[in-house]
Amino acid sequence: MAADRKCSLLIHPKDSPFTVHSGYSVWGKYISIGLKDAGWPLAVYAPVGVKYNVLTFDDIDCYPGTEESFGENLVDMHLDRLKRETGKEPLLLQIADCWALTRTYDLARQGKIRFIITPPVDWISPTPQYILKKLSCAMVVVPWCRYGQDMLRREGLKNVRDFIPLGVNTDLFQPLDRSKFPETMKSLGFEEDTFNLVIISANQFLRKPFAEIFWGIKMFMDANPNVKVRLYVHAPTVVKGGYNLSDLAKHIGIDKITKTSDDYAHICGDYDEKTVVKILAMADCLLMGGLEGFGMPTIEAQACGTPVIGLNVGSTAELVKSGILVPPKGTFYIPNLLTKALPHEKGIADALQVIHDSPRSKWKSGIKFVRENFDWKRCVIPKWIKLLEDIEGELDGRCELEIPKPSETLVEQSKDIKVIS
Amino acid sequence: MRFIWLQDLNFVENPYSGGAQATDFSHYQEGIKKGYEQVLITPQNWRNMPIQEEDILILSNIKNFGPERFVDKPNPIIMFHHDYLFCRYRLFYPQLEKCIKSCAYKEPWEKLFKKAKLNIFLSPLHYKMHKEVFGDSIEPHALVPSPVDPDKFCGMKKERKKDVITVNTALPFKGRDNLIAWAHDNPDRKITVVGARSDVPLPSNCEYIGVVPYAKMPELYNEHRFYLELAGTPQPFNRTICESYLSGCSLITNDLLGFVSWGWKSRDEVRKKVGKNASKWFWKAIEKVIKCE
Repeated sequence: MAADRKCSLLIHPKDSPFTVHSGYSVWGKYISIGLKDAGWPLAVYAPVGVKYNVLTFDDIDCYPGTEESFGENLVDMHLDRLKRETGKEPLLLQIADCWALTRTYDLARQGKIRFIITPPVDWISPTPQYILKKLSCAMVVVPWCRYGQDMLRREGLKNVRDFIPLGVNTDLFQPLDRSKFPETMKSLGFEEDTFNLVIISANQFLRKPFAEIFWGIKMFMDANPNVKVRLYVHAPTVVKGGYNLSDLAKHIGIDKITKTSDDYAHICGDYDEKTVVKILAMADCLLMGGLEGFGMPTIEAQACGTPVIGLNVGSTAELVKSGILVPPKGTFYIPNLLTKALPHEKGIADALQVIHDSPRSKWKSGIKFVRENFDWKRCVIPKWIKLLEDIEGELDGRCELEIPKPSETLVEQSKDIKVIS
Repeated sequence: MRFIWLQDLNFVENPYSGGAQATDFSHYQEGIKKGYEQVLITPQNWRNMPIQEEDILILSNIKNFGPERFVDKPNPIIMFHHDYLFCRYRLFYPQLEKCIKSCAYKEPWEKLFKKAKLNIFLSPLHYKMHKEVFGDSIEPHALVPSPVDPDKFCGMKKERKKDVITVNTALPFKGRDNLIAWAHDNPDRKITVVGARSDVPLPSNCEYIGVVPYAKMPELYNEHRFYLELAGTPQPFNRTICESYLSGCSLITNDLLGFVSWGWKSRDEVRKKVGKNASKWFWKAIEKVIKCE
């Protein structure tokens, strides 16, 4: 029997957990199902993927949004709706780029909402003051990794809790026998004797280092002309504000070995988690070069027995057990004042060399590492349950959830009627 | 020697806007008679009224000021408790185990109460509730009832044609649910409900007549035989029940009224203790601790 929870939860992953396939939506799906099973009355707010009408998936209501991005215009109204429907004080649980939000912080500052934010910390210190000011309005900040947790605490933020990582379904993400998936291999452009590389990423200029990774692959190919390299890029190939990946591959000279995912299939949501499992399990290496807030593919690949090449800055350093970390080639500012880093192309090439020259069996330790630290059900959801129970306890202790009813002693005394003449 | 009253509400401009204001105003007037210089500071004029080091601070309802403002002040402090200031819901203290053992708001208030030269409470019940939470931090203390004017509230020798009256008890924290239960259990009793409107329907034997001007209340009490108040949470004093009793009503009540906890045996005894005597009592208690320095 589920525990009687004191609050209701509005889970705000921005992307619909049930119709969109993104890192945020995956988080939204597992968290909403996991917390619902743990007894919290909740709803999901997903302005990307749900426009007009409340839709229901797996007994979970998805509230619609009319604005793009985080749909902050409806947050307080949805919280009021949730309170009316559940009778319980609502908490907003939001996974979000903290620099992008504005109205949410204003509402919190005015005392109109309570929210918990779990943001990616995908920059190098110092954190811009405007971000620290924004985050201070949250009831609680829950980073995704120790890197983010330590940085924000060091910079003076007082409401930072212990980090809770993103997760992976290790019942789903497991090594596969490639020989049983010839069609998948073919669709990715892979063959039995090729060195199969994968990139799984959003397509965002500078945030995702496609150019550096492509150059690293080129350098490896130039140093190893007899190695048959194949690259599969699982990302929208043409995006406003991002790269034209086909053009980039051609410019760098790796277009002949590169295959990309289908943009129309991305739009239609044809690539689900099961698809991603196959992609990663067929690969010899996953390339993640950016300064990530987390990087779900990093743990997904390792769960499938596939090593990862990642940047030696940020969360990736904590997440790579099977793989190689490469140094940055430098840091730079982006317009929102965050300091980012890009991987060194030579570092990528050298890492590819090591992985190519090693037997696949060398890279298996990641399977157990991921299972024991990042499985949604076994590791991540229990941490969220504990945190939310602690928060409810704190709110209840401060009598913030409801006007407390009088003690039993007072109730008895109040019923003891006397007449005084 | 100046006495600085600190109150969230201006009891000089609006002395009858609430029980605490009426009480403070009465004591303030007595202070004028005694020749004391007194100044009232509210959150509105706080920044314009400098406090001198030798001023004596009477901290009345200071929820909006907060305790931190005064803890480090060098001034002598008299803590005049009206409600349950430390409680998030100061008007309806629930006396739960978490209140007594681990109130989240206790610490800064405890520092202030401990620093005070004197903690004044409105009744033995009011004091007892605080003692449970704060122990010796509220010592020394004095008990001073609210000054209700026995010349204004008295029997008028009128025929009491009506049955029961109750004032402001249709509010949840004043025992609305107990009122409704009693009305249901006593369907043949007719209850006149005065003051704030209930947000839930009242039984059919309740007649809601709205807000009545304070000046008309003595006459209204004198039309009724009984006054009903069944508080759900401990009331520090409750001027209304005192006013109705002095006006000749019999009381239907419980032990959660501070007035009842005084244990006065007769209307004569009540007349002696409240009114101007209460205000004299107030200043005597203060003079005792200030002169002792």
